[in-house]
Amino acid sequence: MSRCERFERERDAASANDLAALHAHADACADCDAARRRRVAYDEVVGRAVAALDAEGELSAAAWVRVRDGVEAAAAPRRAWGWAWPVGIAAAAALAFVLVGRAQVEAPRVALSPSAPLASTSASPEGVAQAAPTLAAVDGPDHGDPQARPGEHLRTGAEARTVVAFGRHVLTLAPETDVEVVDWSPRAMVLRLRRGALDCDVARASADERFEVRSEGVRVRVLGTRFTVAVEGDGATGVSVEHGLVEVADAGGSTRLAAGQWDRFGGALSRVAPSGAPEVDSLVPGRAEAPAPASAGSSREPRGRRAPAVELIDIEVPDQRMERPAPEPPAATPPAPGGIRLIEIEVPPQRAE
Amino acid sequence: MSRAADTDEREALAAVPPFDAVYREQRGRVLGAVRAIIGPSDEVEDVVQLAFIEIHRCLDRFEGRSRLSTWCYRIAVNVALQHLRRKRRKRWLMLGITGDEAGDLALPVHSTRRLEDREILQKVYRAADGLSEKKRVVWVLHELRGMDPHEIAEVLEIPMNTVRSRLLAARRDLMQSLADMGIIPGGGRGESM
Repeated sequence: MSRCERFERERDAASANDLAALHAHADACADCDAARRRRVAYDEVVGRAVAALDAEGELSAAAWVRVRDGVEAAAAPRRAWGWAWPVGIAAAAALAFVLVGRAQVEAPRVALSPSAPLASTSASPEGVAQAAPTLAAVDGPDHGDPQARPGEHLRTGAEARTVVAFGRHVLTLAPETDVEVVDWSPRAMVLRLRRGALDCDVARASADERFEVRSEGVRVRVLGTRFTVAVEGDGATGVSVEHGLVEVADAGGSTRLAAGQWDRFGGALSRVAPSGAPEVDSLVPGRAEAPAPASAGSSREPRGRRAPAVELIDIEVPDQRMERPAPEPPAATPPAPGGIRLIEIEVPPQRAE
Repeated sequence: MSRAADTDEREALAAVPPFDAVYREQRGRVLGAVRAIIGPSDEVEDVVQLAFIEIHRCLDRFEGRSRLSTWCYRIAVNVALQHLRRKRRKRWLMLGITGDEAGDLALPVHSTRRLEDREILQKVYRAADGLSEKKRVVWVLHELRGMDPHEIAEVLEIPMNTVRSRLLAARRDLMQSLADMGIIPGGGRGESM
């Protein structure tokens, strides 16, 4: 005896009237009733799958930086000869050695990439208006190169911009980014990321040189690596490290992030305690006693350990800049939520190998 | 350039926004397409990056014959499918060890319901892995992205009847797989062989 397949056959194409008739048929037909129950269960499963899919997060703010890097890398001409690599690396190492040596003895220099001026050129009249005085102010008297002063802002509109500082640090501002200059000197580069994403390729010239990027509740301190800091939509700060190995340590344990991975910090600081959160400037590096906002929860749940008020993150980074590894999938290791965190990234000085 | 001679095409080309703007406007759709096709994975953002690299590479060839959003969607779908193909080859070479499973477990879960939904999602994708690529992409776009057959036909550049037949076949196969996995009731005798 053949099985009735009317419900399966007609279900999707049925109009409202047809559907009523189909259900009436299914009420009387065991085969179609079973098919109907199966379809209901299937629809529920698919609905929950869609809900789970929708619950996945949006792209991180640093995604644009990765896309832009990928576009640039894809646009770069491919090398045809394998032997060119070691030769190129050796030449780059020699050049880096010379540049590092010069940077230690020369006067500080700040240069804006000629192909990428800071002034926004489209889509953001506000960016143009605000960037113009910055450009005027950063003209240096000695070398004709622009210099930035504390309190000035580096802003981008619709397009990303690259700034080369002291001939060594390459700062790339994603579109719609606002970076306040706290300190801009060859011995201390301190930037506050107000909005957007900032990609930093840092080349430290001496052991006591400081390079810091701050955002609300988060400080990223680096002595020589490549990393990205991004203020995300919910106020969290995303940090991604391109080279090295990151260990996130707190009272409850530690988590490692490999090169190319990223994590988010301070998710709800700006939302929960916009005025209660202490300024990062007031924090003393290495001390875990910064007051945390009482209810400053993170957008991510802790997994089995309690969040400290301040987290110390050590990033061990070998010498870099000679080659860039292919990006790895981002780590899925959530930081514990909580208040202000302090991130310290310490690496050996830049050396040319 | 030959298309520069045609006024209409010049206008169409002039309407193409710069890449930054394309990224801003299309990132949500591209992310949605990629995520729906490859499923929950740590690799989603990497594939989105690849999709935008491809979009950037081809942007100057966009001729305005379809909407920019549809064009970007099509590229995202193709890049995601390409990624799946590579992954399948890799999975075969690695005898099924992909590492994705551990990544899935590490993702944050905020409630039991979400955990269950996520498990269901993974099972659904496991079942969808058994579909052919052609059926899978149609099924994903319709069931998980909510696109109607007309839109799917436009994105995939295939006839609408083909979309419908693939969708029906995919749904039938998937229901059978889900029934075999015990997620939905079985269908009595072994239908949909």
